[in-house]
Amino acid sequence: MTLTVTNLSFERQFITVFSQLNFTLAPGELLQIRGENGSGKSTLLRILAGFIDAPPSTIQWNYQCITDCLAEYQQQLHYIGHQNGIKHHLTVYENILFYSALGNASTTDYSSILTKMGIAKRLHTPAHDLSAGQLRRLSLARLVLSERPLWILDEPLSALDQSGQFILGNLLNEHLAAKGMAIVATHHDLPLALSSLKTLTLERA
Amino acid sequence: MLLHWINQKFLSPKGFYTTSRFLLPWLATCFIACFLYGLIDGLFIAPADYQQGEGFRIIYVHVPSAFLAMLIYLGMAIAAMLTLVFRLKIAAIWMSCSASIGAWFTFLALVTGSIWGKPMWGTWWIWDARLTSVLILLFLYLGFIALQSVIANPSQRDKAGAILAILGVINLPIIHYSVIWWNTLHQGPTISQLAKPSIAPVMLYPLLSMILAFFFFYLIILFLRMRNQILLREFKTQWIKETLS
Amino acid sequence: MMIKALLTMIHYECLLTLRQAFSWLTPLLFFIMVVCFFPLALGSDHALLHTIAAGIIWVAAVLAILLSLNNLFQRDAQEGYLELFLLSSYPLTLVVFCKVVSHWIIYCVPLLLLTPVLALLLNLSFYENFILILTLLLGTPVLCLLGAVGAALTVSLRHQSLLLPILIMPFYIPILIFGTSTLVAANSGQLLNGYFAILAALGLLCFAFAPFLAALALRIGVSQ
Repeated sequence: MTLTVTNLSFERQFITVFSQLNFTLAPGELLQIRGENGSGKSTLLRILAGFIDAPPSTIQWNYQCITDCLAEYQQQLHYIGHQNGIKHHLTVYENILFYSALGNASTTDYSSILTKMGIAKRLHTPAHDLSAGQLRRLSLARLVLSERPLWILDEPLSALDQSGQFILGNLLNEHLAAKGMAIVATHHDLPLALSSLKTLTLERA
Repeated sequence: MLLHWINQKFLSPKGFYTTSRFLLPWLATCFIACFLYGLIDGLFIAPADYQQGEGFRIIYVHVPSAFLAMLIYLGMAIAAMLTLVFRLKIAAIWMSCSASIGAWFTFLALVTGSIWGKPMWGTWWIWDARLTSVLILLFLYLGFIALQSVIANPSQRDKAGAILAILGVINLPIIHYSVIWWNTLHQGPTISQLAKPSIAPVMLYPLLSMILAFFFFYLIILFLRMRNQILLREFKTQWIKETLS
Repeated sequence: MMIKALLTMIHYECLLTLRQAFSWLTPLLFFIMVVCFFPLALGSDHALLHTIAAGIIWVAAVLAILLSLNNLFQRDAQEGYLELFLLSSYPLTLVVFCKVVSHWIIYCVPLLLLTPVLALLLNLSFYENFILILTLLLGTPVLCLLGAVGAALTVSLRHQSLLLPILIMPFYIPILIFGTSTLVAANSGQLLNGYFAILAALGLLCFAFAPFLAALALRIGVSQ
């Protein structure tokens, strides 16, 4: 399971966002994308997640172009962007159930997952009553709910306090140790145990 | 090989730009020839209709514009399918540029139909099947233009417009036949006002010529607009800079 | 397993809308008010109202559904759920279909339940009422399906509430024509099998095409 990116360029409204990006991601590796605001990090992550069309033959999953197998590719990844992907009018428990139905995950051990994320006591709170940090923890819970090899995270540490960041670090470490892959856009230093950390810096156009 | 030639000459923006420049004078010549023949023959030489008198001559504008309105929408639908399936940029440009031309032809058809109706039926508007269908076609065009005008991102705009055009072309026969049926339902079994006896050849040839003339006119305006769009979309490429300098 | 997941999705979509009572009740209230506007505008002549009752109720239903369609994908777009739909284990077409089903349950079923009451206001008999509800039962899913395509096309646009009716209303014309003329035929004592067959056929056609086109349009909406 390898992600290969070759000569990826993207422009929007005649402005080049980034050009000629090349990298490979193998199981157990994490790619950190750094760059200033407006350097195209979110756009790059959305392209890698298959939401924005990439030029053909630039992104390959298992040596197959993702435009040929988009549906299968997208079922192998988690994407957490700036929005949390949480229904604000459902409780935490209902959000978990809804997501499990959507993501074909089993919900038998949701309580242990929520304990891990530190929001187990908020099981029946409506999501609009949660703080920003708790919402972020809930959105990160789905990384554990259904197991998928590739994680694409856009500024996951934002709104998280120290213990939250610690929890995310643990999640990433376990995921990478289990031969998972991750692409994370953040300007923080990630609390990782592994040294197989690749960095890609985007320049502002 | 043939496909490659077509691709090079017509389907790439640069190829189309060059080819259209070559084709435009020919199209203009054909247009002038057909238009002059149709107009002179239709307005002056063809005899007056025994039933409608001289007023029937408006069909030389009304029928071609209605015909073109339908044809342009079908062209847009084909271009829409090419955009979605083959991701052809030139098809998307064709589709976008055709829309307002088609809307104008539809409007012209409605206005001339209305002008024709006043001496024939006594009213400026009648809710018969054909006019109502053309009115709905105008709404389809205007909806398409409205959608395209609000989306800023070109590739998003192309794909969204393509979906709307395909939805329109699937629905168009259904809408057309339901309106015909609605008309017979509410008017009762009276003789349709538009029941025409078959048209005499001496009146038919100028009509066909006018239809051709309108078609060439559409192609001329379309090519001019497409050339503009190509300049707008591709202005950063090398060949544009070379062409313009 | 899949049926259970789909039912869960429908269940929670319905729950979400029910919890925001405003978004659910407003189109219903709009429906009632539009129906009441017509007698106010046209005069309360019983015979006249009886003749145009089917048309009034159908037009009011179309307008109310158009109003409600803004909510179909808007919340999902704001909460980042469209991306989750794309990444789900089920095809996007299926997810869109579930959303339309839940939309129909929440918005159109109360509409259908209110129709007899409003038909009383417009002087329809019991039999005509029954036929009207049957036509609406067959017609409102079509309205929701076609509206879903429009909602998906305009989901990321600022002027969604203005653009959506303009885009979709021409496509509502066939179902409107056949829905209202069924009642006219019922009044003149004709057999109604053909009319219901056409309504059902339109419904099946939309069921085949509309979720797929809406899914396609949602993909475009996500690619900001």
